[in-house]
Amino acid sequence: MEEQNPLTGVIEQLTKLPSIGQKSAQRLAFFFLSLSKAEVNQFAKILVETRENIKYCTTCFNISFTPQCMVCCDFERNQSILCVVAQPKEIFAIERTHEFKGLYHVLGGLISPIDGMQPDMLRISELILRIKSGQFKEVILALNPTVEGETTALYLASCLKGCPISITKLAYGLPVGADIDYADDMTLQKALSGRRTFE
Amino acid sequence: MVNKVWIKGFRNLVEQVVTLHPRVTVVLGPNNQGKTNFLEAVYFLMTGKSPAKAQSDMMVSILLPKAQLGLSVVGFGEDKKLYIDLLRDGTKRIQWDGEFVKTHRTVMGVLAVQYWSADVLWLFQESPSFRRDFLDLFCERYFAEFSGFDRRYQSILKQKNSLLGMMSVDMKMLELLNQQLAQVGSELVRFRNLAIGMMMEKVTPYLASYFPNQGDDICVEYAFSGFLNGVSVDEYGAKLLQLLTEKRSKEVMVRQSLYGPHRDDFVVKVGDMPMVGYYSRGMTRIFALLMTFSQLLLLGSDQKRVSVLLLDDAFAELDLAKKKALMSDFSEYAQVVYTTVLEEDRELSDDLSLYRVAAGRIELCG
Repeated sequence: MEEQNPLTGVIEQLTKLPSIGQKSAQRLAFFFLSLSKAEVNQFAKILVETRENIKYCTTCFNISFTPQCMVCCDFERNQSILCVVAQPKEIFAIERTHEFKGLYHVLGGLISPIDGMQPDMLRISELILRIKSGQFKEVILALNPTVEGETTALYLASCLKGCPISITKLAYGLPVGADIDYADDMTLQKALSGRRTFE
Repeated sequence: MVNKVWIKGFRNLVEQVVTLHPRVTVVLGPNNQGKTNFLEAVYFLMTGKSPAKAQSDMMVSILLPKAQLGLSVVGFGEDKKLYIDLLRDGTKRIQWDGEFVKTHRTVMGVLAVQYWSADVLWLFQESPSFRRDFLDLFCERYFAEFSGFDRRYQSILKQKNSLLGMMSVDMKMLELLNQQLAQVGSELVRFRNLAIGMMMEKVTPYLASYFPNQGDDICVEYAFSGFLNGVSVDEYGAKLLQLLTEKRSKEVMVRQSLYGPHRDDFVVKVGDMPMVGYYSRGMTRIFALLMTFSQLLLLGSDQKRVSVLLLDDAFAELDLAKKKALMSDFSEYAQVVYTTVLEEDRELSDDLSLYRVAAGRIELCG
C-alpha cells in the first residue's frame, strides 16, 4: 500500500490561504517542521487565541480585542473627521501614513451585485446614524477607485445628501517615486484632472 | 519594411524563410495548403495574437513541442529582428532587437499590421457587434486612453446586468450604475466618432475613382442605440442617462441592459440609402477594404510605422481591373501580402514576388 505523505494534512490546510499553491504550501509545511515544538505551539496558540478573541469594534467595526478599538478609544484624535473604508485592513494602511488623525468607519465590503453585495449587507445604516449624531464636520470616502468603490461612494453620497457635512474622497494620481512614462493612461488622466497649484 | 519571415513548427508550415517583396507578395495555391497559415504566422509575429482568435495549441504544429517564428525589419531607421517562441500552453517568449520583452507593446510601436480575409464583407452583413469590434480594436490601438474607459464600461455593465438579474432590483443602485455607464459611455462614443471621422478622411480621396459620380454621397453614420440618433457627441452622456432613467422599468422587466455604447452600431450610407442593397457585393467589398486600409494608414504610415497589410483572398468577387487598382493604392503605403487560389492574381501588380504554396512549403516562382 502506498504510504501517505505525513504532511498532506498540513499542506491541505495551508493551500486554503490566499496566494498559496501546492508548492508554497509544501515549502511552508517543511518550514514548520524545522521549527522547535515550542515555536509551533506558540504560533498555533496565538492563531487560535486571536481568532477566538477578535471582535468588531461596536462603534467603527474595526477589528479589536475590546468592545471599542484603539482608534475609537483615543480621544486625542480629531473627533470631527470620519474616514469611511471598506475593510479593516485599509485602516492599517492609512494608519501607516501617520497623516490621518480622525476616526474611521468600516463598511464591511463594497456594493457589488455580481458578488451579491447589496447596500443592506454593508454597515451603511450604522454610518448614517453616526453622522446624524452631528459629531462630524467632514466624511472622507476612502474607497478603492474601482467600479464597486465608485458605486459605493455614489450610494453613500446620495444617502448623506442634505447632511450638514463636507463629503470628500481620496485623490487619484501618480504613486510617489513613479515614472510618468510608466503610469497607466487612466491614472495619468486622473492625475492631470486633479492637479493642484504648485506651492 | 519587413524583409524576411522565418517559420518553424507553426501549423502545417514546414521550416522555411520567406523573403517578402517591398510592395506586393502574392502567395498562390489550392485550398488547404498553408496560405492562411502563413498570413496567421506573420500576424502573430507582429501582434502576438491570432487573427482568427485561435488557441495556441492549435497554432503549434502537432509534430513539435513549440512554434518558433522570426522576422527582420529594415528601413524607417529601424533594422531589427523579432523572434517568438510559442509553447502549446500559450506561453510566449518574445525577443525584440536582442532583448526579451514581456508584451508586444514595443513591437507595435514600430510595426503596424492589418489582416482581412474574404470575410471583410461581414462589415456589412454581420451583427452590430462585429462592427463595434472593428471600431473598438482600432480605437484601442490608436487612442491610448480608450482601453481604460472600455474596461471600466464593461465592469459597470457587468454589475448592472447582475443587478438587473436579481429578483428584486434596488432602483437607487440602478440609477447610480446608470450614471456611471452614461459618463464612461460618453467617452467611448467620443472616441468611436472621432475614429469614424478620421477613417473617412482617409477613405474620401479614393471614393471618386471607385464610386464615380457618387463618391461625395457616401458617408458613415454612428447609430446610437435607443433612438438617440441626431444627438451630438457632447450631449450624448446626458441624453443616455435620460433614456436609461425613462426605460428603467423595461430593463428591469427584460433583466438586461438595453441601451448604451455596447448596443451601438454604424451604418454606411449612399445619400439616405444604406450602402448594402444599394451597391453590389463587389462594390461594398471595396468600401470595406478601404475602411480597413484607412485604419492601417492611421496606425501605420501616418505614424512612421512599418505597415503590413495581410489580405487572405480579400479581393474575392472583384474584377481584375479593380483588384489591380486596389493593390496599386494599398501598396503605395503598405507592404501587401495577398493569398489567392486564382492564377489571374499573378497579374495584380507589375512589380511583385510570386510564391506558390503546396503542403506547407512556400516557394518563390518569380
